[in-house]
Amino acid sequence: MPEICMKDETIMSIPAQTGMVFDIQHFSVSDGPGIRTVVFLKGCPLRCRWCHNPESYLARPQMMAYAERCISCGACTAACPQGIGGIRARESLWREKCVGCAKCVDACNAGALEIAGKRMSVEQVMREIVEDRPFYRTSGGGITLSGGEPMAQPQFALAIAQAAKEQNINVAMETSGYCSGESLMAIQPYVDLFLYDYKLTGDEAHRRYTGVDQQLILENLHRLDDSGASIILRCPMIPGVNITEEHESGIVRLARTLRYLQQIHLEPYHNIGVSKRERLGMVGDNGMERPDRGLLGAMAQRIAAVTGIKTLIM
Amino acid sequence: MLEMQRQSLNAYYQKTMLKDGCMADKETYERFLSVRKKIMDGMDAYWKQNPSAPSVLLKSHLHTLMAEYFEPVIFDANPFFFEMGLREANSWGLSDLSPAGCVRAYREDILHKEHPILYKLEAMADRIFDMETLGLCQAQNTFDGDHHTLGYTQLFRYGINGLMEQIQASAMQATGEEAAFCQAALESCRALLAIAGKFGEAAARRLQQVTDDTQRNYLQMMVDTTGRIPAQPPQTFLEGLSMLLFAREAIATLEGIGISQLGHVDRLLGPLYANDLTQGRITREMAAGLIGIWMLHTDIKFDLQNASWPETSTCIQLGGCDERGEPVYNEVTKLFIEQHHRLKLVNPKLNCRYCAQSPAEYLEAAGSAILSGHNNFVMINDDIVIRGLMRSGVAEADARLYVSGGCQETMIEGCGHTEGVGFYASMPRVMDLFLRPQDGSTEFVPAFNGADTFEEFNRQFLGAMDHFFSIVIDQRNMRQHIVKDSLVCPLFSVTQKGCIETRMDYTSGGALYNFSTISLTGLGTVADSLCAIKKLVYEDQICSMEELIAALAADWVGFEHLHRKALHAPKYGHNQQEADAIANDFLCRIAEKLSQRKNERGGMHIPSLFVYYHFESFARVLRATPDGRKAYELISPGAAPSQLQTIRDVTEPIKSMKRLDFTACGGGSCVLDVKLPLSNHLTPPLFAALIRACGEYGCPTLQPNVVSQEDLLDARIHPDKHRQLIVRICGLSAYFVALTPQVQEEIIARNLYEG
Repeated sequence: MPEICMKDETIMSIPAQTGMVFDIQHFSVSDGPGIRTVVFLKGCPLRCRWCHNPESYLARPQMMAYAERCISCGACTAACPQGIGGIRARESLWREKCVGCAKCVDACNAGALEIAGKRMSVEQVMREIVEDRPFYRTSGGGITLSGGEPMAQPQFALAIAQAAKEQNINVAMETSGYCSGESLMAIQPYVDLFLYDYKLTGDEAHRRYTGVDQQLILENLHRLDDSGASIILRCPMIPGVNITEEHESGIVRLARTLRYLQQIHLEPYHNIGVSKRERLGMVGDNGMERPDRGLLGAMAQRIAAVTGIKTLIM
Repeated sequence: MLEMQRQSLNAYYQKTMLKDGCMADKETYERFLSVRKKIMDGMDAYWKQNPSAPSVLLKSHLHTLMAEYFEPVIFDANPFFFEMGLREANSWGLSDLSPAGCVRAYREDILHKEHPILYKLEAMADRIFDMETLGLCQAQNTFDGDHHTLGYTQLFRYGINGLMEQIQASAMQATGEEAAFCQAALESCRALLAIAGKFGEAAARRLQQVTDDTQRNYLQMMVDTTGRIPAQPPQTFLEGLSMLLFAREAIATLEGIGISQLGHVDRLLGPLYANDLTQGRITREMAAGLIGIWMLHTDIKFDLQNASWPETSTCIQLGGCDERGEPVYNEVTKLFIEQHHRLKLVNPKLNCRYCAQSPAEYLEAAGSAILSGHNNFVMINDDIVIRGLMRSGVAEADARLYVSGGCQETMIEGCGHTEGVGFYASMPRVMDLFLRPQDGSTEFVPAFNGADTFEEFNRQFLGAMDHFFSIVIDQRNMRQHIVKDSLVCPLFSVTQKGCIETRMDYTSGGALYNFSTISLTGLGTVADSLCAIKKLVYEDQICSMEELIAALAADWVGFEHLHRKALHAPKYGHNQQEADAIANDFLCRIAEKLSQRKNERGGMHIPSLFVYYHFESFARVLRATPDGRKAYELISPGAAPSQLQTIRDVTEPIKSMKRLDFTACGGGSCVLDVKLPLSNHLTPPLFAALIRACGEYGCPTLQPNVVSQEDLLDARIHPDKHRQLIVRICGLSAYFVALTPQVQEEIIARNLYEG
């Protein structure tokens, strides 16, 4: 039997830090180079209307209910310390009172409840990460911190990045850039690649669709660039929102100001977030549709031609 | 050009396709019957004159008669000579119509007359039939007549002439039965040479009749090649290809066995191609053309667009290492992968070995074809198979020559017949009957007798498994002992190391290695059930064993809470330490028990985790199991986890594999099925990285299916739009639209590792 791959590589000096993680996804091949393990940290200051991870919004655990699976057996009510009724009974009340203790998840006989968000220590996260080391080694991959907004838990994100670097594991971080500049610069030495969102061009549109200003985001982006960090711009592309000449020009203008920009990624909107929103008790349909890939292809070619930066559709 | 070759093959094989017990074309069938009658009449006459002739001499005389009476079939613009016209098109080798098939029955019949054991045979058949009826196994085949590979390496090294010299030298010391074997082997070799000679003569006659330069060119190639092949070791790429195809087809026809492997082609042909290139005898384009023609016939023989279960069993081997341990990868590897993909072939299936030294270019070339949805590959980890075989006592140099086929069954090329499928065993059904006996089941599976600890439960269950195995193996050995005389194959035997030296047929254990494989079905289901019992009954004490059995009897209805707990108990293949450890412990113990039981040829039994489609057929009679599975739901296939709990990414089962010692299976094939999305994100270099990581984790054979779930769903509604959509089922590849709705449904329902 082969030796367990990381047996001889003990994890050293891991801080006792904990944080809220809502998913660890393995074998990701589109969140940075190679095969990667993506750690999704909970909490996000933005409310992008196209968000495909709405379960990341809050810093605390959130219940997700598959109402169609419920068999009305009452096991969840019996198990709930708050005395909240089942999924089907007065849902809004149930969501308000829920403290995310997950007792109902264990009790449910139909697999109709899930909890998004789990407190994990850096050590627990690292255990999962190092187990994937052969995938990183054979593919040039590593880990990607994502969210939510990973910088919403700056100390936890920093601790994971440091621990990974200590293990010689490549670290990428996906960020909206809406965070404290100091925190971002603190983690910068431990991040090999930033996957930096550029969502909209113009402050007004940015506020309307994401709920926050763009200024801080751009400042932080330039601060990273000034520090010599490797950056890939990630641009979500949503019909009716930002597939416009104006935004295309905005991407080009921004790209020209960055010295260490590696690539530009155009990311077509997909509607995976809709069903998640429903499970979270939000209004599911955001009225958005997938873009035409041909259209994006032409846009990518134009951007690459003008900027000289490799531009891909993901 | 290829279209002409395709049409020529198609025209002939359409006529000889087996339909309702006859060949499709009446005239062709009648001509075939008249040739067969001459052969059978000759056999009857020989038997009358030699009533005490041993089986091997009967068989070799049959070969002589077949060589005398067969009429060579030559195809347009095709330099290869291989079709003797003595079997139906869609035959793997185990042909009912062929003279070899008839003689097999004929010889069995004589045996029955000579020895009044027919009754005994039937009685035994009843006992196995009882076990099959109970859903415990599929074991009706007395002997695995398929899953053979010729000793191509021997043929490439010595040619038939060289082997005949060895037989003659060995015969000097032979007496009695051994002398008969040597005599038969020589006669069969002469028959094989005569057959090639007849092809050469037929090609020469045709050459005089045709004027077209292209046709003449191919016919001249055939005339030249038959002058040397199979008598001499091949010296050119064309001769090498000719040797592989002629030896495979002719010997399968003569012996009436399934020779699933067309050869480890890049290892065998790579040096010949390189030499031809240096000598200016060949171009890459010419080689690609020859490979195309060479592979074309398999698909055509099996009418794949219309057969609902298009089994062909034909494979070629690529990559891995050679007998010195050096990695195999050359232009021939690339040419085979390219041509297979370019021609959109379904068969021969590409069984790709890989080792730590396999170059990235090789893995990427395979990956490039696989990721485009060309689902004809398996990726076999040399490290697991070779170390496994060595654990079973195979010498390292011999182990390195392993190949695999008709699906992925391991065979040691040129060293004997590893009965790839001795029988299939339903381990979950053993557990089912162990917990809840049915009428007549305790004879085969002793009933659970109460246990205070999980260890005691486990001990009793392993005892029940062992009891069941012992009965099936004893029954098979007795049947093989009685009928083995009718199975002799002197010509096949001389290509296997050991048979010439011992002067014994491989069916009598003359070859170097004589394994039989037991295909274990439902490892995941059994391991998960053991986990659930351990946790629910013995650790958490949520229920008693009696309550659990009551829940199973009710198919979990009324026991929803317990059902939920069972579903959430640790599961094998989900990267959960405890469950994987239980699976490993169970597998190793079963392997150890099996290895102690000898087969009729004196070889070991080894397990395999390769289950064909029995994870579906066995499930049809399987009641609820303690893992939370309901009655008649699918059981886990091969080395893969069950589908009771969704697994999102492919790393989970692969990481689980590191906790299992698959070398305990002694080289028996262990297969992990994975269904991956057709996506532009997964690139050939990433696929290569995935395979290398599999190697590092000690993953056994990986059987990938790269599909678009949307295409599969649409193909059911608009089949005409998806005629070329190929899927991997379970060791075989097929057009999706040709499959039955049930099989289509199962493929759609498989877990998709989306990442």
